[in-house]
Amino acid sequence: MKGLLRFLGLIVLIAVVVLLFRTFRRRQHHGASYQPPVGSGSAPRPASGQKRTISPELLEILADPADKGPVELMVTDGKEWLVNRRNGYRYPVEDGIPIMLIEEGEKNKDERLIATGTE
Amino acid sequence: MQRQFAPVASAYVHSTTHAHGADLPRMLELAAPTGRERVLDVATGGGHTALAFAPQVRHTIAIDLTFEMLTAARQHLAAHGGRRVDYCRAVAEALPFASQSFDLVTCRVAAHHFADVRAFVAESARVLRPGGRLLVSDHLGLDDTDLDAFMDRFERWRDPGHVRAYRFAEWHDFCQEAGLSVVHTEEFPREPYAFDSWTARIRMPEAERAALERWLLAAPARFRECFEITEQDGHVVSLRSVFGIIVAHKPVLPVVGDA
Repeated sequence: MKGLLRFLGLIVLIAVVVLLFRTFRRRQHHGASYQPPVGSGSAPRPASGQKRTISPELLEILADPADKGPVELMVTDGKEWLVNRRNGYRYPVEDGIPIMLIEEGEKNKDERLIATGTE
Repeated sequence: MQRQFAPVASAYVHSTTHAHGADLPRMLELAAPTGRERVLDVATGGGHTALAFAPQVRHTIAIDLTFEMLTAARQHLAAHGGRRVDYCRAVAEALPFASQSFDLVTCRVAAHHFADVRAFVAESARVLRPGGRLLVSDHLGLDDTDLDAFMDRFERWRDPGHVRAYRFAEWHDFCQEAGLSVVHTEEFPREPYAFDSWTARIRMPEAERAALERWLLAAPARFRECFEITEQDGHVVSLRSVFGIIVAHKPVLPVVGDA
């Protein structure tokens, strides 16, 4: 009887140690994966190697420098563009930075993107 | 302009005049942000103005014509804890933002480069919300036309991108044309230029640097005194230019006759 109690006690002790160890590891892992937001706008900074994207706050007020109307974010083949649906001008986004120069928008113009009146 | 600044982007990030000019805390003091503002910093360069304003406002957008300047500024701000800052490549004369988007527009030591300063002021007025303010810190033109021409010559000699330094009276006109009213102007003395680093930062060719130096040393006493040209062993040690700050306000009600 005494031996059995001792055996059970040992099992409980091992179980507690394993549980503690696991909890500790999970916390450590969680801590390592957490990155405080730094840099561009309200969007968290992407980990190295990841693509930078435009923050929603910037997107909200961006306009075509030519007609000052709103632009839409479109992704074509993994590349971001800011598109003016009124004239088809497309402004490229390089490394998370919108290139809002009229000559760039004009150069990359795509007339198929112009929204028709019925849309 | 971008060809001029792309190779020297990091020199502007680390330039002490640009990073630590006392006009920067003064601009912040004049702006007195409450923490709710959205700020546009035009021609951000090394990002120093954006970095100073960012902790005290809600959101900052830094624009510049030169892509390399923007990436250098972004790197600098990230390293110094600049939060809630976004970057965009744009010209001062055609701002890519919806009207009435900003509470403050700042522009520090850059307006003298703009091809069309009137367009910059008009665009600033457009993107400011009613009640918003434009803060400009820049070279100032001088009322004495001879002194003004002398200063204009040495500034442009060193920096061919130097278009013009404007007098307060001219800023008043630009603002009035754009529907803004100048509410404050002050001359803001900056530390003299150390001739060697001033000419080196912009990578002035050696022959040009030497010619400029000779020209400065040969100037009449009145000019040397006005710009505090100091000399040692036949070399220019330092000289001073004139700087100031302009604050303009966008009226809450449109000007009568303008609506």
